[in-house]
Amino acid sequence: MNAVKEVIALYNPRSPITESYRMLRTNIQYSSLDKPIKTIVITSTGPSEGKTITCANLAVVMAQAGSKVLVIDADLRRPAIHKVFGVSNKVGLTNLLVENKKFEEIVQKDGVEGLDLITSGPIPPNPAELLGSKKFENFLNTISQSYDYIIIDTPPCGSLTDAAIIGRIVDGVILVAAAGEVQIEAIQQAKENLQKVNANIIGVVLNKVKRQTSSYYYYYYYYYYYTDESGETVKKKKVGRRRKKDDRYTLPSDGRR
Amino acid sequence: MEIKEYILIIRKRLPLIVATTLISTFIAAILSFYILPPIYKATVTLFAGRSTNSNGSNDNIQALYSDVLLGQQLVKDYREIAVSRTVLERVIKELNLKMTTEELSNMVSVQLKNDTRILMINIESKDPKFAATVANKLAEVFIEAVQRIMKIENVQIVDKAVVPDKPEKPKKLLNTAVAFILGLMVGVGIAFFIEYLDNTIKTPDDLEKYLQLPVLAVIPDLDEGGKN
Repeated sequence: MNAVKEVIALYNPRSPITESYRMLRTNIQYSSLDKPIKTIVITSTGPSEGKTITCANLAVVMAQAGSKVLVIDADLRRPAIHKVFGVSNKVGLTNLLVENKKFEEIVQKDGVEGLDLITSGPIPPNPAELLGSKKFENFLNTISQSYDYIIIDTPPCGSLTDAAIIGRIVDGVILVAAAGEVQIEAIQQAKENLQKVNANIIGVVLNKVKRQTSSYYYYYYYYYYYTDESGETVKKKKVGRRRKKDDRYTLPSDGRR
Repeated sequence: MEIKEYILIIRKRLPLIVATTLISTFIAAILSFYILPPIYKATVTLFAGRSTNSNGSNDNIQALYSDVLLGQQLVKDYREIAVSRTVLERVIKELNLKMTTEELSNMVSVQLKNDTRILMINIESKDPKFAATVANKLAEVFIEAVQRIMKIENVQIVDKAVVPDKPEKPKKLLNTAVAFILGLMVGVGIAFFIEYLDNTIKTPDDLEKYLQLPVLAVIPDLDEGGKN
């Protein structure tokens, strides 16, 4: 396991940040009543808002909860999943789409039980075209039979169409927004781009929230619960400041209920 | 916005606020301690009233009272006479000064003490001795001028000007303190202005307000939260 330290869910399961990712996992589970969310696209308005790290951490906490998870790096322009998990990117998604390689040939096992990876593979000249192909859609449909969740990392949707193209054929899209970085108008535009293709936007992950600038927004989750090794939810003595607004968020749990 | 948010904004921009405060304080201190030349002020105090040789009888009380009223009225006239061109020209001539009446009049200020017959003539100059000399000469010339013009012989000198030992200006500490407060206010102002211009998403509330999308998770900044 050579994952970078940002995959905090692996290295620090008790960290409040890991707890936030567990909350994300729980909220995804409960975001749709009719149709379970299995295939998820993760995108953001601009570059480096934390898409790939969110993908990785979400996948890890899902796998830790006993789900079978596949992470696909569909960012064929600036792939990063292989860097985050510290695996090779010699073969990947493009090999499957262009060279007709079999899924078994390109899937990579990760150190985490239940977590599989498909990296991007060689960077193609026409990523949008590849991702919009019937072949990719069929591949997703077939592969989703064997996994509980498929998490797809994509390029930013503010300026590129890739995320919207995939967003069309998956169950849900999650927008990652870096606090204090993404401009209101830009993210509104990103939302419109996704809605134009009828993508189902499940919701937004507010990333990189600094304690200094908006402390009380996550204080509560920060100290209220943490999950111990046995997966039991333990109440901590230290209770953070609680505001009325916090009530609407689902409390983090271990996700197995 | 709540007070708490104001505090957060100030805390976030603290380096900026501290910087503007320090810079303005520093500039004011440099200016008033090193750059601005010290200005000295010499003052002559005059009294406008007849030197009554009152024996304290009731007859004189009436006269004394009208004299007081008259004096209070007259000091206003005296003020104008003190800075009149005739007086200033005379002072320049008698002291052999190399300056115009305008230059001299910029140095002179006349101060009336409210409801009294006291009149103060101030001379401000870089040279303390010179200020005192001019102040005394001006008082002298002024008394003569009053006698000549108004035919009243009722202005006496109470205190002659002495050579000031401490400069009147610049008020170093006051200037520095004012600059400190001003810099602080400007810094806070800039901080709030930046915040006002900043149209980025910062809180879950922003997301729901501008996007009408549910917030699935709030992830703390890795660099800060990971230390736990």
